[in-house]
Amino acid sequence: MVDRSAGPAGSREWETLSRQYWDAVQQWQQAAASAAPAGAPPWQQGLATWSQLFGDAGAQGALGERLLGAVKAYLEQTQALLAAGGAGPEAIAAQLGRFMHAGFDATGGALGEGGIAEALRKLGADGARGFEQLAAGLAPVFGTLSAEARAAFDRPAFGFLRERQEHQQRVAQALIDYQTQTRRYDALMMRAGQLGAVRFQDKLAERAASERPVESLRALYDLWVDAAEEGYAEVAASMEFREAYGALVNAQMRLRSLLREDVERISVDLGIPTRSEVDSIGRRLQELRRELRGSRDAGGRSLAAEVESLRAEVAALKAGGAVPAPARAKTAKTERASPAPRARGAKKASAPKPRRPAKKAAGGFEARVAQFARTAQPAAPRARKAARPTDKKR
Amino acid sequence: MEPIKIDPAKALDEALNLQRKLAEGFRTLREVDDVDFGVTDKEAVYREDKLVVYRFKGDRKPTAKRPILIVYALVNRPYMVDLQDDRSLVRNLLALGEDVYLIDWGYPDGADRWLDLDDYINGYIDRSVDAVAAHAGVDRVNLLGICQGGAFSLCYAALHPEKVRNLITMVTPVDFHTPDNLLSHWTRQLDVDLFVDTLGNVPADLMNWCYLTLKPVRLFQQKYVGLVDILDDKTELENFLRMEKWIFDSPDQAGEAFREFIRDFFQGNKLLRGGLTIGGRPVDLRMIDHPILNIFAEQDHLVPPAASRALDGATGSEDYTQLAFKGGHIGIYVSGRAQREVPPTIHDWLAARP
Repeated sequence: MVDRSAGPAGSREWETLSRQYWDAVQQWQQAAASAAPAGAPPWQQGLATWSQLFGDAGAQGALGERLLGAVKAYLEQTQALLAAGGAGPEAIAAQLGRFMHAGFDATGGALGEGGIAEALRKLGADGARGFEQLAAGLAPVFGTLSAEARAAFDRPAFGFLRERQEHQQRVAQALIDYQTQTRRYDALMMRAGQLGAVRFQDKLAERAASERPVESLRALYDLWVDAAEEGYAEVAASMEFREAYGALVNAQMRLRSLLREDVERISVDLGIPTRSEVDSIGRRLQELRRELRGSRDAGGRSLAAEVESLRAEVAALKAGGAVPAPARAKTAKTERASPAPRARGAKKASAPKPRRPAKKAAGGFEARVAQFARTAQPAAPRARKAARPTDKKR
Repeated sequence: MEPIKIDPAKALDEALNLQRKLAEGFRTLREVDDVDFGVTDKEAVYREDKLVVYRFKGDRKPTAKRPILIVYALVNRPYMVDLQDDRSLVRNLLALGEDVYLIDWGYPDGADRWLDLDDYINGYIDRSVDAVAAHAGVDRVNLLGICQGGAFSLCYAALHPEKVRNLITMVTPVDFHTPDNLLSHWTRQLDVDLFVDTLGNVPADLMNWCYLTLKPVRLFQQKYVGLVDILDDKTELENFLRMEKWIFDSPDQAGEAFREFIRDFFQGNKLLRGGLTIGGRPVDLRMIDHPILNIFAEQDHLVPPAASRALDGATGSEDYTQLAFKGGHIGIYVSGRAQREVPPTIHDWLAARP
């Protein structure tokens, strides 16, 4: 057992043990390719060495990479936490804060250094390249500009290139705003790290008080994760984070949008269709589809109503009663289908033909109704042939 | 007492063992091919654009007279309900005699940029319901909406009550403004018009990133450290891979539908508060007078239980039942407990409401 309160002596013992670890890794790998580096090498170096030799995950390459990344971070963190344990809670807190901020690299950089901004920046949407180039090229310049120099972006533009100048001023302002919001977000992530450290100390104190010491690396790590998540959740649920998060996303969208305007202007000059034009076509097409479907559905409903009305008439005729008034407004077709009144004294009326049997007359009428009914079916969609292959992901 | 009492020799052993397991696990990992999912046989009964409505085929003919149509969320792929043999809500429902259909939305692309909620709810869902009703020879169907698909199903039932017999909602957000809803919290200050106007369709990677950052250390790191423990078990590894594949197999979101969903649901909370219109028609939850079975997960970090519980009393239904499942947003489909509890609950509830 190492006495962590022993100060420098304890540290020396740590170094010895770490070297033993390295030796064991070397032995286990049975690879004499590389010699152990001087000093006390971090544990994850052993992992890095063997993963280069054996870390091929075949078809599961992406998972293999995530796995190695996570375990590397785990080893780094547990070793550092364990070593810091000898120097007291403050050292643990400092270590934890470091991991919470920079150590989110183990999460693929998900939260460190801009977090959401970084995730958005990596998107492959149009304008991304221009965005990256501009952000990388101009960030150091704008980052160091004095307030007075920045105020120049507000000065009125004039002359032949006035619009272009105003646009560039807006881009510059948007970039500065984006950088400001990124720093604000990073500061909150830093605070999440500090809060996580406090939570971790609380948890350790609780373990000490309840005489349930942490006895394994994994248990130490799990406790750290709990603390880190608690610290993060507290910040992420705050109103300040909500505002900073929204402001950062909005700032990047403004910048992207302005850069897209640049790209589109150049595209127009070169005769290349722009994103706005494609969007416009897509929008009109979708509106047309809606109109077409709406007309078709309305037509179907109208026919269905007509058929319903005719059926009611047939039923009434069969029953020998008066023809009921249609429940809904008659359409032009139903009006045409009704027997047309004839002028009194007309030629045909003077020479009446023998009446057909009612049944036959009704049957002919029914046939017409059935014809309508057949044409009034589109409301229920037909199943298309299922021969088409399933849509694949891009 | 010292809070950390780790024997350094044991710590070294632990670190070495972890790496040994990892090395051996990589051997297993190399042996595992691409995992399969969506295990139950199915036939396509309706297609439109990228949407396909499937009917699942069980080992025996369904005994239920009325079909269930599953309406899944747009933000993930629907095969979570039929992930593998022993983790399949669909398979279990079929075994109980239900007749199960499902809407697969496909992967939206640039051509779908202008699809809005009217297109999805009064268009795609409505025509899918018609297709299923015609295929099954019934006038009304049982609707089973999941997550965002549950919110869509509520809207649909309110707008087309005559086409729905029973309504089942699973892990469905109804109140989007509960204090524990981090996703909602983060979107409140978002200028969604600027966002959609700039990005067009919303990339799936960005959606995934948002979900993972709800619990970043656990989801980006800790779960992979834990994976080392099961690396030597090929079956467990394949289970993990299936889940992993599902998590990262997300469709992009059609821009207009996303804009409306964020604005009206996440920011405006209009589904519960009122004032929601879809396709120019008001959506009033009180118009829903169907029997409702509301199933939610007590440890759901995506849709907090309080967000789902809000359905109780918000509709015009006098036949409301709810099931609080002990598990999370994903466990409600794939855990062993879910296989035992969820399908029989749905089946028994439906059987009492033919």
